[in-house]
Amino acid sequence: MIEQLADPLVHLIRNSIDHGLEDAARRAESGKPAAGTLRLSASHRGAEVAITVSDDGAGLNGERIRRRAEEAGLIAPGQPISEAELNRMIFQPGFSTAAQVTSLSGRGVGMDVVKRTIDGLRGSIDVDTRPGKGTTMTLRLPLTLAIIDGLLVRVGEDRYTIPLAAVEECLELPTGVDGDARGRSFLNVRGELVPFLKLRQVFNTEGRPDPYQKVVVVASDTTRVGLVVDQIIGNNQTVIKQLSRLHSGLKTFSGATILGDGTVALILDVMHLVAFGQKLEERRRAETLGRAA
Amino acid sequence: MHALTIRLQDEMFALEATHVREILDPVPITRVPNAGDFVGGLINVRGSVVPLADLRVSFGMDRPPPDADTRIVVMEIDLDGEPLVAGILADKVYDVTDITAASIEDAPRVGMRWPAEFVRGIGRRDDDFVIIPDMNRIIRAEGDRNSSLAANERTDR
Repeated sequence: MIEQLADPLVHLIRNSIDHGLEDAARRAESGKPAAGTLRLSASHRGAEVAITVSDDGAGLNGERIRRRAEEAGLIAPGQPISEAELNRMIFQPGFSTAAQVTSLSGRGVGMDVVKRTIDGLRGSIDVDTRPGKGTTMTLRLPLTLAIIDGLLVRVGEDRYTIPLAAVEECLELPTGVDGDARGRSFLNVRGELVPFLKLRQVFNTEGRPDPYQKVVVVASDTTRVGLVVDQIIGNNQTVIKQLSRLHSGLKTFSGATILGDGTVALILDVMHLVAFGQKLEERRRAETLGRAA
Repeated sequence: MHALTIRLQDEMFALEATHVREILDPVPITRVPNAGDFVGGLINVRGSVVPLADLRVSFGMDRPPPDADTRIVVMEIDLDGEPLVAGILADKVYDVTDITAASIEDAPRVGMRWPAEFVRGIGRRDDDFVIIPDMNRIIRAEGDRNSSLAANERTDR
């Protein structure tokens, strides 16, 4: 896999240097240090390895991408399109917004080849850009066979595995904080506020919750979040199996595993799960506000 | 066409026999939250995790709980050059039969309760009609639904 990654990575780095980073004068104007920063990092996320190439350059130029995409007939003029979709246009064959061809890049071959290579490895590529702040390209590649330590929990009738690396501690949900937790869903863990997510709600679990709910405190990015479950079963060695293409869109699960009794358990992707839970709460909040109005 | 005939609700469907890997008795199904009804489950097929698709959802049929006749047909479907293994829930499995190409007609535009784009054709067997579903199209339509969900998740973040 490493050999096949070399070319795409070189291409992404070249692209960042050539298209992303501005020249020293322009950087000085926008108050950035004259020397640009390009960061290459790799990390292990559930069933995937994430490799990011990020620069602190000008970011993608949405208008120029749109113009180029319209010229190339990829989208109809004036067609409404989301920012994310627009950014993904750069992966289309024959697409280049560089006004000038340089020795580094801008020949209009490349990003589509990068995407094809990554697709071939059953991975994905994501682009995240902030105008004036920089661009981050994230490659996600599957680990075909990987074993992690997991914490097996039960939510209703279903069992899920939480990667142990993300787990900080487990505690019991104090009664009273429970109720239906309108308005207040955070805990006091030794003087620190820890927001919690009820997995029963996130997963639309049916039936009655167990009387004594447990909280698994996980670390996600920079925050600590409690995941409320019915029961903590224990830790286990987990062989990660990838989800098929039919479920690859569900970012809240990084894979699945087969338990000792032969049933399948999903592995939670803590980072995405927290993001998903936040969105769910925002929606619920908006609904309650709407009802009150 | 060599076909495996199955029953969904009260209609007979024909699945291409060359794509069928095996037929299983019902096994424990793991629910996949927020995945939608069509691929709402996962099963363990000899150590691999396989999505379970319910065609009755695509065709807007009733979905009674499994009974003694319920089976899971494990199929290998070619999707953009990549094989995808999926289980298909069947209310009953009949047999393998030959459906002559000549008897297969295009799905009529009218007089059908189901989405026409999901029907590749209607075959005839004895005096009965057999629906030949367009598995690729069904799976792509439902699979896209899940990936577009993900795209939203990403944009909103």
